Amino acid sequence: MLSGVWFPLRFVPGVLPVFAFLFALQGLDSWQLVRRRTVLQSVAWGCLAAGISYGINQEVPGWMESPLDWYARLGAPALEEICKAAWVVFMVRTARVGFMVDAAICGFAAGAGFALVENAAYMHHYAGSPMPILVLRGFGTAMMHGGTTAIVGVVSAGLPGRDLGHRIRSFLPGLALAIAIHASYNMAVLSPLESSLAVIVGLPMVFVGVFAVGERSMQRWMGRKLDKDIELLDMIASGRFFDSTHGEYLKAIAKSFPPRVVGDMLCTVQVASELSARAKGIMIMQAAGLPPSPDPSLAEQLQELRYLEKSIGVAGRRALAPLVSLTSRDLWEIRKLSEL
Amino acid sequence: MVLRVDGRMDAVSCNTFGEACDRAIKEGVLWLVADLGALRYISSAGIGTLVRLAITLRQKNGEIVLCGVNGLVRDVLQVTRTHALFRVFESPEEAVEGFR
Repeated sequence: MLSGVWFPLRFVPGVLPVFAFLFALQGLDSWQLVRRRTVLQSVAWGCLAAGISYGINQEVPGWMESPLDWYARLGAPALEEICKAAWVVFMVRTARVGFMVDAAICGFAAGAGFALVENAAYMHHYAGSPMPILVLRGFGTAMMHGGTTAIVGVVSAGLPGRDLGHRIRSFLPGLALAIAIHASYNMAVLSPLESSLAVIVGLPMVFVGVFAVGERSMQRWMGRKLDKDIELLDMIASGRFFDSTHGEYLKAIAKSFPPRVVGDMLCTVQVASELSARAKGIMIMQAAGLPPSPDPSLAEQLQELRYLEKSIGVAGRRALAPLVSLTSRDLWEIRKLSEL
Repeated sequence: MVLRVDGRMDAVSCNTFGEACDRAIKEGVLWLVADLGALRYISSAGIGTLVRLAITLRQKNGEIVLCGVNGLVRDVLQVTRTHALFRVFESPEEAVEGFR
């Protein structure tokens, strides 16, 4: 048994399986939506969030006079879930994640990092406990932390209307659910063994469902969007664009913008469609286990897209939205290209 | 002088085209034909370069004309209404003939 200076490492056997689960999740990510570096960044954020939460939780008793049971059961879970969820909010709003699957992986990774630090910090509470209890407690808590933050990501990425600017309120339902689960865990509605088992058994089942739904959603999106991209590119290249409904729409909005801007709007349709089609081709290659072939013109096209977006401005981008999807998934796609 | 432009004339590559034309103008070339038959893309940055060259050459009693305009390039020139600034021909030979 570990003792003395090695005592804090007693939590490691409880947390290691969670990281094994995390990397297994990444292995299931058949579209390679999440890079290893992003997983590690998520874990690092989780560790930081745990430090912040721990510091505040240690100070709260000094601020209050009344019994702190309610804080331990509700306040602390809310604080911890908000700290962890901040990472998911950042990843979604900056288009670093675009689907339920990658949101779930990043959320789970943040939760796992949180659990790593939390288990180490609270190890002294369980000094006299036998190793199996430590393992179960550590594993159950780690899975709970990972699972609740993953739920924030899944619910936020999967909600209808998620592309409406990803306002903060769109994250509230997932966060509320995460806080409710965490608070239930802390309130000992079930015995510690039952709680841990419920999380250990239930969470993988949730992930299986998320990945299955996510896989189908991804395939549908890829097929539909790629067809649209190709159709637009074909119309533009063959000079038929203005004879189409897309062209009629652009002609209609052209009256509201200077001619130079309208020209750049047409260019934006072309460039965005090209990049979108290219991104899907790369994803198909990666899903097949093939490395994407280098494209020397990619950097220039991404730079041109930035130039065009600046040229047409916010009003132009909004007017162009029916022709050029700039949803969170599309922005995520462009960001993935720029990481190549 | 006939300048064949291919690929893209965007915010990055328009400078390369502009500099090539500026060098030609410095060497005394006042009649330029921009053969855009192989040009697949042009944005406002490229249009701006063409317009600047048109103004520069007009001030020197010269001209830049376009030929081979098609596809997206034609559409962009039309929606930006800059096609009226240039004489447009089908081929480089017709464009050269147009200068006579």
